[in-house]
Amino acid sequence: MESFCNDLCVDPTEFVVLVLAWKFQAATMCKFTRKEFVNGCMELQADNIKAIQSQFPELVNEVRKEEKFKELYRFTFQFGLDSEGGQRSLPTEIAVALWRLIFTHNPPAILESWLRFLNSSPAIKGISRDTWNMFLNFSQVVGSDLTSYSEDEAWPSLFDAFVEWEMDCRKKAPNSAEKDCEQNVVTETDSQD
Amino acid sequence: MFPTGLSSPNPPAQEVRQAADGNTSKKRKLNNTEKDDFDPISSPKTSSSCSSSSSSSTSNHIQKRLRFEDSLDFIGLDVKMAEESSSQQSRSKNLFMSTVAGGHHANGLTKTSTASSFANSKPGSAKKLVIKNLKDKPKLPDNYTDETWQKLKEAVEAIQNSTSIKYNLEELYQAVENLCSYKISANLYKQLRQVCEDHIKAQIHQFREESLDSVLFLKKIDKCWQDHCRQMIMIRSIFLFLDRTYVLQNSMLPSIWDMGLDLFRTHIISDQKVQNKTIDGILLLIERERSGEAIDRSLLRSLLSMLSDLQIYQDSFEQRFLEETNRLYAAEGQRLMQEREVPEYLHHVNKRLEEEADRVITYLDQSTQKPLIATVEKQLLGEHLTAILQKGLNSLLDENRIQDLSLLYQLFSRVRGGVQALLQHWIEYIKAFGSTIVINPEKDRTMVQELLDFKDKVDHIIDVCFLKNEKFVNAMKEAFETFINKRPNKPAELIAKYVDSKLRAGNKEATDEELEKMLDKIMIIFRFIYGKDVFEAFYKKDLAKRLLVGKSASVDAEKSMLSKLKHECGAAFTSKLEGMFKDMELSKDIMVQFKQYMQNQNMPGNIELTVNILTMGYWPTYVPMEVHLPAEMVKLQEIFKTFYLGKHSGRKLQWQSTLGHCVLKAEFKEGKKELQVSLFQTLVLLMFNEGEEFSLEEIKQATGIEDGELRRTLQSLACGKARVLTKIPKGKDVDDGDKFTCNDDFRHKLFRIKINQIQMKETVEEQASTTERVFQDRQYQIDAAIVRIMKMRKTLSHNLLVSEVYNQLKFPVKPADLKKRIESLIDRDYMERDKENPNQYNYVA
Repeated sequence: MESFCNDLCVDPTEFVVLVLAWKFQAATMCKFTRKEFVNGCMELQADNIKAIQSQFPELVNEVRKEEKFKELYRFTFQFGLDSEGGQRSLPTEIAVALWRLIFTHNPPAILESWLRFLNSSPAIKGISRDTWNMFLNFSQVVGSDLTSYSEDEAWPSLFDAFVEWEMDCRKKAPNSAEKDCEQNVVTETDSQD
Repeated sequence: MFPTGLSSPNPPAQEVRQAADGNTSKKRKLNNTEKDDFDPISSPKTSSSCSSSSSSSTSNHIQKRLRFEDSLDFIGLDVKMAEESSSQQSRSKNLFMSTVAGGHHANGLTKTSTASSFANSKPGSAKKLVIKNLKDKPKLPDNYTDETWQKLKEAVEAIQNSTSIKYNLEELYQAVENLCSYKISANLYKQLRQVCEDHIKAQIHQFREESLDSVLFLKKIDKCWQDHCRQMIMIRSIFLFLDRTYVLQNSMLPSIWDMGLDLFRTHIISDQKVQNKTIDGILLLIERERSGEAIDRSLLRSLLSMLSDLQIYQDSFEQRFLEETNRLYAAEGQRLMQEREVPEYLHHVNKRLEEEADRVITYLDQSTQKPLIATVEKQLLGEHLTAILQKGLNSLLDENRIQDLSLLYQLFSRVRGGVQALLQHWIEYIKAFGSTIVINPEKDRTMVQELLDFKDKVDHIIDVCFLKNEKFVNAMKEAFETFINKRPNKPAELIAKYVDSKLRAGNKEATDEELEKMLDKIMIIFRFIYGKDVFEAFYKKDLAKRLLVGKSASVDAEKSMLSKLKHECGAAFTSKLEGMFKDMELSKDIMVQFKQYMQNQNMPGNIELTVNILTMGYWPTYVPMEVHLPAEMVKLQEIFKTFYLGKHSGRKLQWQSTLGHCVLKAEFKEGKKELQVSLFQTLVLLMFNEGEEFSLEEIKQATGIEDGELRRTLQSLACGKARVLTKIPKGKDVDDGDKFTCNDDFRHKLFRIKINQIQMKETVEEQASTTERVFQDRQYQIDAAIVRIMKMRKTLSHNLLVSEVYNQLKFPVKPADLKKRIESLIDRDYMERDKENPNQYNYVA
């Protein structure tokens, strides 16, 4: 896989690889089965590295559409899941990384706080598929303004906790919290690298 | 003559009407019984008939006092009097007069009566009557009118000046009648009016003096009024005929009495100065009375009835009076609310209301009652409802002041919104007070008893003070429900324990009936609790103990409690509890069979075995504890196992060593004893059959009892009340390395001794685990409810699902917890979120 990426001259952690995996309908991270690869190439109508590379901008463009992006988003959860190992939910750290990855372009306003919340709550072990899927809705509906959020709606309870946490944060110290989170982000990106 | 004035206002008019009725009917009667009536009258002399006339005029006044209740008789008397005088005149003035009589009767009687009366005046004459017309129409003498009027005028003036009348009254009456008969009534009426008016006009001057003290002034007015009434009655009596005939026929003209009132009103009371002074005076008197002075009430009564009679009561007096009242009580209410304690204030208000009611009865007009009482209520109560409640209700309730509370309720129910306000504060009080009982963990020990007492108190107050008002009962129930559930689970747990303490043997403080009553009360409290499953869990645990150790005070009480629970919560709630009772009964049967079986087996050994078979699931879960039993016991267990499984194949028996207990026979120096001990205690004691002294470690090794349990067991045997073992070194607690020997010198006055196992105080862990189990159960119940609903509905929005789940669940759940259960079910693929609408769930088959 890595060599494949090298051949394509892309970093395996790049967004476009994710899109590619989606196009190839890869079952898990870091590997393509032969069948997936062949089908994917046929889909892209590409028969060599150059051809695949030339498709990249188009691929990235394609997922700008909302519908396609949603498909990709949902795919990403399955993609990240170690289904052979019987996982039903994503470990939080992987989820965080995937969230970061999928929102490489156009990150939603709430993303940073959300990830900060996840990192600061060690009790949260994993992200269920439902929560993963709902986060896209959540980020679209809520925007950066949390006041419109209502616990009485069908949001997964993790969002309830998040909104409460975030509200607290904002109330306590609007400025220092900002700085805190930046530091957090920095350390995070470090660890990912 | 006319002391009360009560009768005056309307009756005169009424009298006329009645008189009219009465007249005709009486006349008809006269017609029939003429002869009887006439005879005695025609014979007597003038003097006697004169006296009868005067007596009739007194009786006239007496009748007036009686409010004309028997007006018919009275009128009859009048008519008779008329008859009398006519006959008298007919004697003195001959034929002429008889025609007058005829004229008088002409209104109602036929000519025949005149004729017959004429004929009858000569008793004993021929039976045949011949009636002849009069030849000439009789005429009055020319000056008769003037003369008569002079006479009448003199009489009237005499009455007005309270001097004696020259002429006898009968004569005067006759004169009036004569004048009327000659159609000069109109003139007569006018002249009479003139005379009266002149007189009344003259009266005004005495009130014009400025210097008069208000009371004196009032007395003067009163006197003038009384005189006026008396005079008018006299005058009217004389002019009765005028009143009856002429005035009655002219509906525009007021009767003589009304004319008198009219004149008095126009010329005296309508004088602005006089009126103001009168009203001011009256109000002043009332205010004085209100501030506690004694006043002349009859003066007030007389004056106020005067105002009513003159029909200016409402306009001139009532309005101002109510304004005054309003002002006075507004101020008083403000002031006293500041100064006085609430109960005192309430009593004051009550007193005021009674006073005012009394005032209405004694001297005010009846119509004033409503507005007056309403004013007082508004100013003294209505304005201060919340203040009274805030200031005083709590302390009244705290101190259980039944009478004051009754008064409070009584007063508040008089004012609009009063009961509602009371109700509101009532709820708040119960909630606040109840919360103090429930919330504080330090009061847990007494919580249930306090709740019961509080409920009793509250019930009593509703019964006695609030007249069993339904609203208060319901509000009380709601309030109880609210505060009891403010602290989740704990009250339920404590109620269960409280019941246990009452149902446990050795509790001799109550008779069966009292116990029953107490259980009923407990059930009422229990009804308020949301999380009944918590109660069940703890109740079950305690019930198990009672049943297994045989500590239950009475099977009847247990059953009764069970049926109450069943009634309250349904059969599902008690099925497990009932199962426990069933197990106990079945076990008894099994033991009978087992005994027979043992006899047939012909087993050696002198140990008796009793086994209770407990169905798992019905009973609380006990952690099995492996211990080393003596060989004999193990053997017995094996025998029982074979016996039991032979009957019921496919079952699994698990021995609960923690629950076992034994009776041991022991021989001490003092003599034989029987020791009733637990299985663990038994195991320890049996060791001393083999040796003299054992250390803690050795015992542990031999018996296999868990460390903590063993220490407690040894403590009970060596450090408790009955010390069958001796601990070396001595001390309260069992420490590592302690040694134990058998205490041969053991003495006890009883033969059979029960050595209580030292109960591990119901530990926090145990409690927590029971609660934990309840919560676990709840989660399953939530899951089951959600799946049930989803299976039925297939698709459902989040909110609908949540509300349906709440309907099904009998215990409180936080929405957040519910959400977690939903997520968990989504995760486990029992349901899924709709792809299009994230607020909607689909059932996954």
